[in-house]
Amino acid sequence: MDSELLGKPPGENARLFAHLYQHLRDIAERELRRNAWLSVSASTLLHEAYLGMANGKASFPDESRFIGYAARVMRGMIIDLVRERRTLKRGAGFHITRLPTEIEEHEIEEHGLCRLSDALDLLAQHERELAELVDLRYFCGYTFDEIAAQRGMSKRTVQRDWEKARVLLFKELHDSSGEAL
Amino acid sequence: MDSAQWAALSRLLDQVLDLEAADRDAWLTRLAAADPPMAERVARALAVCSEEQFASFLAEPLPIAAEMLPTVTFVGRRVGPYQIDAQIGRGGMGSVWRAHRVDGRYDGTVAVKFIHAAWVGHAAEARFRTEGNLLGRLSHPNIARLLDAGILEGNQPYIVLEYVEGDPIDVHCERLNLGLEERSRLFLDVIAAVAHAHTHLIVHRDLKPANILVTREGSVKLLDFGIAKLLDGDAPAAAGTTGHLMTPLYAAPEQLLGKPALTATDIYSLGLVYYRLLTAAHPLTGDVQSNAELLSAILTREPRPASAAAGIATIRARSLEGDLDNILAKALKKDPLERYGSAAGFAEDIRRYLDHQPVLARPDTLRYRTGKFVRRHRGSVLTAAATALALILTTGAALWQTHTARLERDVALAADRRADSMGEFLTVLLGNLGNALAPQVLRPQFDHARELVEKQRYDDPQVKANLLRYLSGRYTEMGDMTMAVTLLQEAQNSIGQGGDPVAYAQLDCSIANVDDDLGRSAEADRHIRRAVAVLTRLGNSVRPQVRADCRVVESYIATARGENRRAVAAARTALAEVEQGGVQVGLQHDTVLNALARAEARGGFNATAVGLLRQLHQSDVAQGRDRTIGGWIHEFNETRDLLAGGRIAEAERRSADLQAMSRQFGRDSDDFHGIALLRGQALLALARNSEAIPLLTRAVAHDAGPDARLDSRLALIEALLRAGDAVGGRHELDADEARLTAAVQQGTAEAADVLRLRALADQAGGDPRKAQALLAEAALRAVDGDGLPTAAADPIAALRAELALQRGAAADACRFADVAGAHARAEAVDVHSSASIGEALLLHARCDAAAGRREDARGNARAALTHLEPNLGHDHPLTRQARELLDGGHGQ
Repeated sequence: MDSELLGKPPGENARLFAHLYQHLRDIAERELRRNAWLSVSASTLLHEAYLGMANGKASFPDESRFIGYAARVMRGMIIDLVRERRTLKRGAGFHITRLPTEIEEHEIEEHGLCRLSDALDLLAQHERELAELVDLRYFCGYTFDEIAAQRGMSKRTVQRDWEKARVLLFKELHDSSGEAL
Repeated sequence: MDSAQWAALSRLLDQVLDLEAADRDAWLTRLAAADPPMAERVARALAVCSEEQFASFLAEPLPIAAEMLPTVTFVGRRVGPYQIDAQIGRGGMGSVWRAHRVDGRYDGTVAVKFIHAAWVGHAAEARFRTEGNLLGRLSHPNIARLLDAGILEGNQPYIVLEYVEGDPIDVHCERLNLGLEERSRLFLDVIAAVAHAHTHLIVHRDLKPANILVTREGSVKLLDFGIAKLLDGDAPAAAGTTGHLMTPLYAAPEQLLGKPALTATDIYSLGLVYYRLLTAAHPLTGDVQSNAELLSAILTREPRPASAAAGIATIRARSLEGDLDNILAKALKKDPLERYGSAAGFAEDIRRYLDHQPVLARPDTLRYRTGKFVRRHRGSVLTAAATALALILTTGAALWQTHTARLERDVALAADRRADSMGEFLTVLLGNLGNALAPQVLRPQFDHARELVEKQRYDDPQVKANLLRYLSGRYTEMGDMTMAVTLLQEAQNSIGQGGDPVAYAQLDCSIANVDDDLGRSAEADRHIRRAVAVLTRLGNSVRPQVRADCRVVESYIATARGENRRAVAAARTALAEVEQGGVQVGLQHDTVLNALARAEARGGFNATAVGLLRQLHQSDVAQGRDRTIGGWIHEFNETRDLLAGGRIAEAERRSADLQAMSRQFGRDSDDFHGIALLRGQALLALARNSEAIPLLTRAVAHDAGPDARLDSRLALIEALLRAGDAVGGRHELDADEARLTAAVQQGTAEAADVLRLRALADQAGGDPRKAQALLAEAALRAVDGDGLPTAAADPIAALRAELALQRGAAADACRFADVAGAHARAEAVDVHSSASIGEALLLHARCDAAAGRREDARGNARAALTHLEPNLGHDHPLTRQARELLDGGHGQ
């Protein structure tokens, strides 16, 4: 595996993306079947995925590079799942049989997520590390300490970068002047 | 933006973000001088930081719910002979899918329910086989058939059911605008189906409108018959139907008590469904604020007659009066034995009503006593609580997280209430547990739960914070305050400074509360001030109940700091807040009233305090809480304030009742050591020293350790000295010398009393001059943080009067007697009848006599008698003394 590929948008590396996507999803489903009521920790998934990939043909220079890339794949998967879920909900227009809870579930706003994802891809063109940081932190739930350790940076720097990414993304998403990124 | 520009902007943003917010403007000004367009770009970017939504933007990792992922897993899969087509429902318990049979033997559509393994437990597989077969044989046109049940791939329980499409029965009735008779006829079909299942010894256990569908053709179909049992096995309902524990609207009292469900349980639920069909209401939910109150209502409150709840346009209230009220009341009896003996009997009565024949249900001749039921099942209430607790502990925090998260979204019952309802429920029930769960049993369980919570990753930091806060409360109860504080701080860290400011401030309040318990008054004050400031700043966006909780804590802390006026003000604010929040009754209202009473009493306003506590007692009785520990505490406080307000005999009588009641609870805790002290103090005031001394000795023994309060020790010393045991009193004084001296040096609330008792010991030891000096100092110390006299002031003045009399200084004695009288009147519960006022009047009478003012002496002695006789009794030394002065004056 050419590490050059890692900086490029996923579209240009469709095969790796698709492979990793399927791999992550398989692990997620296996974990969930085993442990039906628990949330799966995204960082566990990515670590397992790396172990799986490392045993296979694709190889990355190190786990941290892999995780950075896989986090982007994870984002894609999460957005797909949110979409699927919305579709299912819209289709379920009739009442069939009760479940013990009649309470509305937590909604994740699909449209907002897609816009965020687009903005992230844009940000990645300028500064890949910043976008990756958001993938790791927001979509995969890594802590600042974990990210700092992975990147060999101080936590303070990671937090500063995080603020920067938030500022830029927020501006991109809320600023109608179209000037931001 | 080109890449060079980007790189420059990015670098500048790094610089400015590293600066403190206050220094950024200066930095921008400098940049503007050098590169105006770039400065403007940076400034525009930074401007977003002050936008309202920015703080919460991406603030927490995206919550990825477990339910999101398996959606795709089952479509297309085979479950036995069925193939899954699509998902049709989902909830905390599992998911429901539409499927069709692929082996061609039966081409109907079915519903397949997958149940999260966590709900089912270990013995599931065998139970699914045996019960599944049994249920499969249940065949009735109004019951949706269970076609199959099993476990997929060894770990995924599932149930295959007849596929039914339709509306819940209440929705159906509303949609077609059905009248009373049509609704009743439809309901008779429901009962017929239930009766059929009952003849096969199958109980539904979870009947509610959502489980009773009416198809497009208008026929009734009951869903999920026997499924509750399939899922739970024979586990008590409180544990097994945990999914419903959260919204137990249709649960019968015995289910909450962990009793096995009987056919009578279904009768009760049918009663609720019928009630709903006829009124659109629930007979018990009138003004309940929380799940805990609902649970309490199910166990203790009389259902509202249907005619008083009529809410359907086509059904007049008048038509529900009489027979239908009686029928529903019989179906809804708390005691299963008092309900209809069978579903058929219930149906028969409805039929009689429809046919205008006399019904069998009779109105109650005597008011039905709900309390009887609860008393008879006291043990079971404990079991229910223990089972709920065990469930939480054994299934672990993960499952609990699901609950809490769901609770938070429970709009119907909790509105925006973030309170940990599960915790509230447990607190209500565990409050009565007593020694049933000893700390040594609980401790390892809670340690385990704590580890789970600490290790678990949470989608929602608030959930983790709630769990930590709940656990912290349990450690507080076990007396491990240090752990309690640690957990609260972890909870704060989980939310983070940038997180929800309300939740953060609430934790500040909780930390302040524990700090107060630990005696760290300065830290407590710092936390509470911060919390109150934040909550005040946020104003009406914070629920009044939340602000009230913090104000109650503030009131307690202010009391501990001797700031009695602030304590009263904070408690009054809390009361205004809860009442503004529309809460007139309930646990929180009670807590606030109790806190206000406490603050008033500490400020010496015993009459106000007793009035508030009487109000509380009435509310306890009305809500069936008077025999709970909460009710006991309210009565205890009232008794304590009666004692402080001079109503000694009354306080003594009530302390005896309270002591008897505390034995029923059988709990060994601070509250109950408190009763030994209170009763001992009452007996001491009545001069029944030989009874008081053993009680006070016990109170001292219980109240040992470095954090022990001094008041039991002080009361014991006083009792020994008054009993004439100068040596014993001196011995007790010496036994705790270090702490007593520390109290005096640090100027704690007890300092004045310590000095007074030393003076008493010196007086008994024959050193009145030393006593006099000590009392002068004590008098200076008997003021609170606001400079107002404390409860210690009255006995100090009285003792000074006594000493003055002994040394023949009649004028001094009269002056001190006046001081004592003024304090006594200010503190009296009833200024026309108070032992303290009587004692001051008696002292005055004696100094009058000493000064030769015979008529004044007799007048004061007469007045003293009217106070002393009813409050201290006919034979009390002071009463006798007053009588002698009166008679003696006569004789001379």
